[in-house]
Amino acid sequence: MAYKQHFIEWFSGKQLPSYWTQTNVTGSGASFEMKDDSSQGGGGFKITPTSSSNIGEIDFNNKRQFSQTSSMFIATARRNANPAMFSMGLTGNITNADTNRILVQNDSAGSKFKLGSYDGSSGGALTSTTIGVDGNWRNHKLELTSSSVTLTVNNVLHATRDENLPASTLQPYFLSKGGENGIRYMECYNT
Amino acid sequence: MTKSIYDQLNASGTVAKQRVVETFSGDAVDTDRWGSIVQITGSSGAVAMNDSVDGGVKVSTGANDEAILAFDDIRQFNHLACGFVAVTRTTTSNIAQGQNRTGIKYDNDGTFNAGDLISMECGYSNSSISLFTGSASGFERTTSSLTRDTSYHSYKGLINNSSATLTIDGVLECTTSTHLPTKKMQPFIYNASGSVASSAETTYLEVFNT
Repeated sequence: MAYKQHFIEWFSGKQLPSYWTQTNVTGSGASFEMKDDSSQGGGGFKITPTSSSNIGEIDFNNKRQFSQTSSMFIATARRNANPAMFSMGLTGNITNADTNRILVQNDSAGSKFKLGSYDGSSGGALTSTTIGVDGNWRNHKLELTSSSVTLTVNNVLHATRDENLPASTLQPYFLSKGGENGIRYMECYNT
Repeated sequence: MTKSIYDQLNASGTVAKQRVVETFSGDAVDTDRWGSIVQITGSSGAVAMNDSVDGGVKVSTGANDEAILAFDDIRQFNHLACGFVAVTRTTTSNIAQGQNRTGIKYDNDGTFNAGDLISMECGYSNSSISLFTGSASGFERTTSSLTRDTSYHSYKGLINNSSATLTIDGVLECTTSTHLPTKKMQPFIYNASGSVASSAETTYLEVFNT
């Protein structure tokens, strides 16, 4: 089998590599920094928006190398603040959250982690899991096929969606809203 | 089905801890990841990729100078539970002319004898490759059975709350419980020269929390 696109980010070192684009999706002045912290397994990278409604994001500036029908997204992340929200996954569009995107969301304003999928026509929804929102580090896997997207957290399948799947090629993203959120591992590949 | 790197590195159901893997290939060292070289003594310290087979990166210093390459004090590794793997060498077998220490350290500076660190060492006036540990209370040099040379060796250092070990080329060579670091740490490569210039050359460095 031929090698397929495969990406790994360790989120370790002086600063985020320049192949990432750092964007203030809403508002301005978000900080994008490696976290000087060795506790709880290591601090990774953090995005801290400047107000509760502001959003900062890292993405590939629409370099979309991952398949909308056969790809995997893996990330170890946590919500570092309350209130705050992180969303991460694969997206076709860095400006419209409701188009061509699969995601896992941890929002302190809600009660449970959610799996989301959005198609090319701004159709989509979030599906709740049984995982309560908190500030713990977890590993999240999104597996996307032509017929479904699944969310596995710490190796347990928690949600499946089989509608509103993306219709175009995808790139990884990590989005932080309203407060500090952190990530220390990301892996994406075509299957 | 393509397997993830994640599943190959982490036991099923566990959450990945901080890790970094540096293969030192390309036309320049990754300056997003690594900070500028810090001149500890003199100003000749330099970092460059080697244009040679298995050359990796070269941290060099001129006569009587010393320098260090690290993460600009972004310290994500836990002194109570972490480790490193390094494939590295010194370019001089003369024990008076070159010193390579590579491992994990708190400060991005020349604080070694009262600094917080764990590293391998091909050091001054020491004919044996050693494990070097340090804290504010002092340092410990634990010698291995290997005589210092200019060959690449694979070093694996591990540390927990009671001991530190150094495995060289797959053989456990050094264990100590003395002067273990007490602060969070960052990866580093350090080189010091005697009366002639020398280099620490490294082809691989991996650091991880356990």
